[in-house]
Amino acid sequence: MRLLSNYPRAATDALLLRESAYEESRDSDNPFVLGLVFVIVIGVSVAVADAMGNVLEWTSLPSLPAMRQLLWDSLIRGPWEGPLMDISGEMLATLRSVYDQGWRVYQLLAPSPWRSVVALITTPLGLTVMWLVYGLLAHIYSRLLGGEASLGQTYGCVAMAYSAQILRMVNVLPFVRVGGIVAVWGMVCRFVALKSAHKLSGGRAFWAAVLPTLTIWFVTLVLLIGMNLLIGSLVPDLVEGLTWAGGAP
Amino acid sequence: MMDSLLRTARGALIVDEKALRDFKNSPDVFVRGVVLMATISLIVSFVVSTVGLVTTLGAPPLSVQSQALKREMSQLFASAPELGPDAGEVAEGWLSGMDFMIEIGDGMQRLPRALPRPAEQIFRAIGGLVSSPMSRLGAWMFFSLIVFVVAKLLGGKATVQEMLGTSALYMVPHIAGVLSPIPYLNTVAWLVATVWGIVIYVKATAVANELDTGRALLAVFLPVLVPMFLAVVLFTLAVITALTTS
Repeated sequence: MRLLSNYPRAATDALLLRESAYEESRDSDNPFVLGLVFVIVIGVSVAVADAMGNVLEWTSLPSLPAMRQLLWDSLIRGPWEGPLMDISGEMLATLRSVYDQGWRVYQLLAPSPWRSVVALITTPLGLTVMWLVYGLLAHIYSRLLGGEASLGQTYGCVAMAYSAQILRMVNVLPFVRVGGIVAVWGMVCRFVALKSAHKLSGGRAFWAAVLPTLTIWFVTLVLLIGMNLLIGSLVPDLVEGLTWAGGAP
Repeated sequence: MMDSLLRTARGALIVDEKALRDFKNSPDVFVRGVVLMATISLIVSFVVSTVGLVTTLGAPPLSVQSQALKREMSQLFASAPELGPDAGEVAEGWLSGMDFMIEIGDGMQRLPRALPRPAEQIFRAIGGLVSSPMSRLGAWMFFSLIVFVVAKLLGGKATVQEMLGTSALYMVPHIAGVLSPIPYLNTVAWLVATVWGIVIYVKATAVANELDTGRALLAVFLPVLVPMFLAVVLFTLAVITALTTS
């Protein structure tokens, strides 16, 4: 079984599309366990790097409450003409409430130590869940396309493809935006992983790598539409219930 | 490795087929391609970021900059008689809007923060230095994968590593990006590098996939032309529908 100290070399080889890294994973004693540990190690490393960059970014920026107040004061005093000049009372309170709501949403996305701590848990967890879902779908499609690897071997090789996530470690530097490179490079790695694991031809490996992603997108879309419809059908009932209880006009 | 990369870069610049073929057949062609691309991107990004940082740190305070900008704007409005009799009013509106934005920007700069204020500018410069090559690498890889698929449909024989590695050579003329902080010259340099880069990209696609130049041209331009054609068709249909329903 590969030791933890071998992971950096394996990750580098897998990132650089060297098929030997994927073949080594496929032929190991317990590819699933190795893959699971690999994904968690990558997830934690990425999260730590991200947290460090995030905190540095946070320390170099003004505090959010101060920014919020400054912008509000400026907006109220702004060089407005017409109705905006006479805004006061209830309308001002409504405007302030909408403004604060917007800042609360921004606060969730802005750099902060709190967000870093949350990411330390959610990043490895999210990567592991995605690995489990993608690996299963990739295995099903690969077998349908004539692949010959076991489920454990598919998971082991797909885990190696998560080495593309290493690129996110540049987030240790503040204000770095990685962009779409991780997704694209990850797709290439998964293509090589499935080609190596299942000994598929290039064309079949392409579909085996792309179809799980398309399936995940499709299911997510269906779920979102379903939730939208569900909420849409519940809202009139809710309003009716509130009206009957005297909670709404 | 760097010595052989320099030789390949020289061969790519003169679109030497033998140099491209040797590069394609070299061990670890993908790694070499990425190293070449990342090196050129970082050099360009370093020059651009350093010039940007020096300019920002050496710049006068925002209030002084705003006064200069306002003077220029006033002169611009004064020398534009085509704006008519309302020119004074328009200028006043613009200038008061500018004052408002400058006041907010100035206020933001004065707000306290944990680290001294230049830290943000230095961090942003470093961020830009790294982000720019990353986004270039991402865009190149995404486009090259589409070209790879189209080339396969046209009978291409490259592996994904060969296609990505060889096509990375298109980046060599883009070293001219170091001239981008120089006004006027930057446009010329960009234009030359882009056209030169496209020529190398087509040749690299032909060599990597063992295709003739015609098919390589198709493989490179179809992913650009098909979406453009579809967009034009959709736009035309939308206009026709709008005209017939109105």
